[in-house]
Amino acid sequence: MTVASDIEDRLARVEADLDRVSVLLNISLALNSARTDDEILSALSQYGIKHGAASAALLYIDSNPNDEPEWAQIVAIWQRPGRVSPSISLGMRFYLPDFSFYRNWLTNSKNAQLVSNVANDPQLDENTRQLYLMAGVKTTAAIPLTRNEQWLGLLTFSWDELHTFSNQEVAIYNSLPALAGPSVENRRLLLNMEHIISEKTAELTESRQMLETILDTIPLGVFWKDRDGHFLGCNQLVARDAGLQSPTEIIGKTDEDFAWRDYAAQYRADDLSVIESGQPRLNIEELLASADGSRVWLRTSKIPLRDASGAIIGVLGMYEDITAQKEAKSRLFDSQQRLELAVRSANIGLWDWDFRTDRVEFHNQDLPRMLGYEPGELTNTREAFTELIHPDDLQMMLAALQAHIADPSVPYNTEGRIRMKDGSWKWVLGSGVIVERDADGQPLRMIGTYQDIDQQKRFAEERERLQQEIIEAQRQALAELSTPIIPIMDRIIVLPLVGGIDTQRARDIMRAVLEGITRYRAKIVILDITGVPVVDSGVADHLNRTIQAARLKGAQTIVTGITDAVAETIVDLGIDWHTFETLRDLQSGLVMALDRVGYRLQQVGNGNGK
Amino acid sequence: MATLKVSDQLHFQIQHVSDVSTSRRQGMQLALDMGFPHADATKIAVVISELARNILIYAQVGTVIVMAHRGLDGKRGIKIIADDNGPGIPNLDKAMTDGYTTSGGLGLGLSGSKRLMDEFYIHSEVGRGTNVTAIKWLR
Amino acid sequence: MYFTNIQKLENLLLVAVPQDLMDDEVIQLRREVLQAIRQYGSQVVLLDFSRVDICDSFFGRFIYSTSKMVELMGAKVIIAGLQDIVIETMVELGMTLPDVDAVLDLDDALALTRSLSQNGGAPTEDSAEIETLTLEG
Repeated sequence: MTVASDIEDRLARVEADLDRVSVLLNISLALNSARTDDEILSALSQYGIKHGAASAALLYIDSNPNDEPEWAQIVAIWQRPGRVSPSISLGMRFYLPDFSFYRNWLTNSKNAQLVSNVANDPQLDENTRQLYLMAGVKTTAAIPLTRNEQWLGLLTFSWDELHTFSNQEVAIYNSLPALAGPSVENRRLLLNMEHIISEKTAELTESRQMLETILDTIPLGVFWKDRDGHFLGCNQLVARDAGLQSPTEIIGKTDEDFAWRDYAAQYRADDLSVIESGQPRLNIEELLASADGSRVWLRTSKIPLRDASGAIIGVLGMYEDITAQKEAKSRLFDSQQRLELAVRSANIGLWDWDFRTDRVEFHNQDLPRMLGYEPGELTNTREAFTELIHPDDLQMMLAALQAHIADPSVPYNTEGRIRMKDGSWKWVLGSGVIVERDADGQPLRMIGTYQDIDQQKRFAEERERLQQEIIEAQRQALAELSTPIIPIMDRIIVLPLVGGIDTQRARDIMRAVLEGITRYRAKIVILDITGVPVVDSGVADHLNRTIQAARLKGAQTIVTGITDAVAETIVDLGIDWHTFETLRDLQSGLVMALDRVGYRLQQVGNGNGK
Repeated sequence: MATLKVSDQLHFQIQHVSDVSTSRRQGMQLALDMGFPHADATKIAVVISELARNILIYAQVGTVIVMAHRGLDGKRGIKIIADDNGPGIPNLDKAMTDGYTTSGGLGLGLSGSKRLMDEFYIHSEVGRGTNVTAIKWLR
Repeated sequence: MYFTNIQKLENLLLVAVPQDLMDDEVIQLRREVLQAIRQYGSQVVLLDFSRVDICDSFFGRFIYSTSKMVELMGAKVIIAGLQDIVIETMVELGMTLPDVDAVLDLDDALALTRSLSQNGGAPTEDSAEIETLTLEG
């Protein structure tokens, strides 16, 4: 070898290396700015496309819990303009165990796989080969996209013509995995993160908004202070009580700054006892003067405020205005007595449910008696009473109760069956009203009445059942009536059509006619359309199909009930109805049918002696 | 015979008359397996038959894919995709009319198939090929 | 491979159409029917479709062309036994075979044949004797 040719040779190799480096550099640059699946595919596929590939696809691989690649989904695809392959399209998922070539390769190796001739390459399994052949692929290259031994995806190039891979191409395809792995990993991580972040953000926003909403809507004043008695924050209600425009104005101030400064020392003492003991102080009821000078009853609770490490950094306080409750309580006592009196004289039962103890008192013991129990025999807890309610009615009764608890303007008025001592059921009408709620609006006490409505109810039920029976009978009669097949004589059936005819009904009619022909061995079908209100081209079309179907089954059709209006419509719409007989009314149709069958019967009679 | 079954997809390469009957027979079975009533499965089989035969007559070679399909609103159906790189249809409107034929047939293939299915899309480019996608929903 | 069952009954040619025919087999069946008409001089060909469950437009064209060819030979095609679902699909496809007569079953086909014989052509002598011809292709 001469020195000159040696140098040329080496120069050529250096040039090829440089070429390769520049190709890889370009791909790498494009990859760096790629943000979407399409951009990643575009960056990775330029080289293959330049070398004749008719399509390129980027697939993401999802592994099963054993880390074996299981599904591959096309997330980006490029096809040469004009090339359409339905076998391979965006979003398509491949179950890898169905394609043993891919499964084996993906499980055992992480090198690029080049298949020069799809038609006869022995490595390909039949499914993979068919898939490629149907897509018109002759040559293919599959490049693994992995990172740290983990499968991320696949890049595939396909050629419509047989393609020979040059050494340079092989080198580039083998370099792509190392180059693309990080980008694809980032992209997939990003996709995951975006998913997680959007979920978490939604959760966080939701919970913060929820907290703010709660703080601003509960009928409680809520505030929190540091160890030195400086306010750190409060809700709208406290701000209003303090005469402030917004809750943020309270930050940094102390009780000394507000209308309740006379009580500041006492509050400070309460705060300190909570801060120092770490024990909450709950439900302190006190009478004091508000900002406008009126006297109010407050019920206050204070609990220690802790930081993340558990150290007490202040106090969280809540108070509610219980002035109205205090007054209501004294009024209630009177009204309760009046109610009991009224109830007793009206001969209805009265119940009184205390939510705190969950006990139900039956004031005049009418209910237990009504249910066949001796006074005192019935356990008077809510739980025991709930068990007596018929399971079919319980949901509805609880729903009615919930509705009344949530909105007092919704009356609690509900009917339900209650089990008697002998196991039978009795209908009872219950009504009630919540007469006492706690600071949170939660019910504390509910008073109501009950009434035996068993007789009325059973009567109504029976009536309802009868009504349902009649409706069902009518419905069935109607269903049959809508496609009623009436056999009138040997081998003649009549189908009077009543009402509109849509596509579904037309199909029912056709099926009924075909079944009727078989069942009654009909030779003539009379379709009477007197009762079809409108005959337009749609109805004409449907009827025509039925008539053709009947003919293919071996029966002739006569359409009767062609009124003057229908005749006009048929001609005006240019509908061709000359392939079957049409007549004015059913009578003339019957005459024609009998004439035809009679003629035929005579012939058959002569022939086989029937 | 070139049939590829992947999960609930059937891929048929159409290039011989026997492929027409194989594809309609297997397509009908898929429809029945999916719970289509017999009448609907029959209609699906006829549409597969029509589309496969069109490929054979006009393009000689092509593919028919029959697959379980789920609509955006979650309803289930069967989808037929027929695809070829044949001469294409020069006058689509005319081809979709009853009685129009260039092959001496009854000229009911496309228009009739459309009536038998719930959704029917046809895309054709002269010199490039024809793609028909048709869907029937489970009721 | 398929079997066609063509039987002769009086002057009726009974053709039991197989369940699933490939297109080329359809053409062959038509050829066999025409041969049998020549052989027996039958007046009526009854195509019995009771085994057929898929009937597309190619099949419709086969019935139509067979009927035309049989007509040219001076005979008549009638069809029988189409299943309800097949008929429903055919008419929805728009394939109503307007020029082909249909009968419900073999009894009606025989009655029709006899009435045709009495009205027109000479009745054949070998009345209810059945000859069976099985073709294999």
